[in-house]
Amino acid sequence: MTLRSDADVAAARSGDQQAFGRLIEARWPRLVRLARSIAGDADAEDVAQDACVTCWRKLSQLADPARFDNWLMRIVFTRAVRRARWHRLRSLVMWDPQVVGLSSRTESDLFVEQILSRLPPRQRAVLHLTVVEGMTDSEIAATLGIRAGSVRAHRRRARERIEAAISHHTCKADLKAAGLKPRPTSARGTGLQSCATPTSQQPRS
Amino acid sequence: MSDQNEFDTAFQRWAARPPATSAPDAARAVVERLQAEGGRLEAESRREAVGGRRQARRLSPALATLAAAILLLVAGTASFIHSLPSVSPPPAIGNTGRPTTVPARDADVVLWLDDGTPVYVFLPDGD
Repeated sequence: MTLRSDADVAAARSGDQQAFGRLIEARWPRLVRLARSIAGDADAEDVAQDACVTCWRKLSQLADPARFDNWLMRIVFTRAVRRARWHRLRSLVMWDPQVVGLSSRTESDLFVEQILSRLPPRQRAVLHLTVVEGMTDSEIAATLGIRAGSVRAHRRRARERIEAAISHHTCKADLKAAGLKPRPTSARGTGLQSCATPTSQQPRS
Repeated sequence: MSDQNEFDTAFQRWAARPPATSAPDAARAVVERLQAEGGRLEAESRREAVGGRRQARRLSPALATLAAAILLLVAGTASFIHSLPSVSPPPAIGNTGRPTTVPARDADVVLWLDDGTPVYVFLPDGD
């Protein structure tokens, strides 16, 4: 998905800030979506704006103006990953309802955020570009500056983690409905606890 | 896989929420920020451009380290070789103080001019 605005790219490269503003305006929702998926709601717009300023500063380094969109998305990706890593220790705060105004969020939104918070930033980016932006592997590879094989590997690992998280979530909800507690056993590689039904707490019929 | 599909749908819905700042406002804010930082940014970009050209002529840190390591290795090797005691070549057989050839006749008298130079004197038979 490429927005064609070669004239504005050329004008911006020659120093036209208004043309650059038009480029940003056309892409803003897309930039924020990517930043949000990687760095979280609280930082998304900051990240996107910082990326735009960086883009302006380095615009002269853009070799091929036709690749402006991929290039800008990569800057957002890099900055969002950096921000996500920086704030890894406060990952819970990142999804804090008070910070991001989650009062209007549905349970589905919260579940998505909970699962995304369990994925490393690169896996979040690959998943976002696949599921939300509908990009092909080669487009994602070009955007993120990695190989198509790495894109597939990141997506596969993300899917595995999501599968584990969904199983855990479903199982946990079932157990909670039955008034039981999940067995506290670590499920390898998912960052989750196993949700196997504890034998000692099986309901007696 | 239906769970994954449900997640994808929820993810798309979650991601489709509009940003808090509208696109025109965001673009305006970016442009204002560029204008506010304009002088500084232009100076930086000029400096980056000049620095980039200079950097292109400079050695990269990795190459500089490699060159320094090679220089150190060469200097160390030269110093080590220089510190070894000099070894003379083995003396030639002709300098052992013994003739290299044996006189053909038994009656010869051998005189030595020096350690390696025999002189054979042949005396006539019957004297």
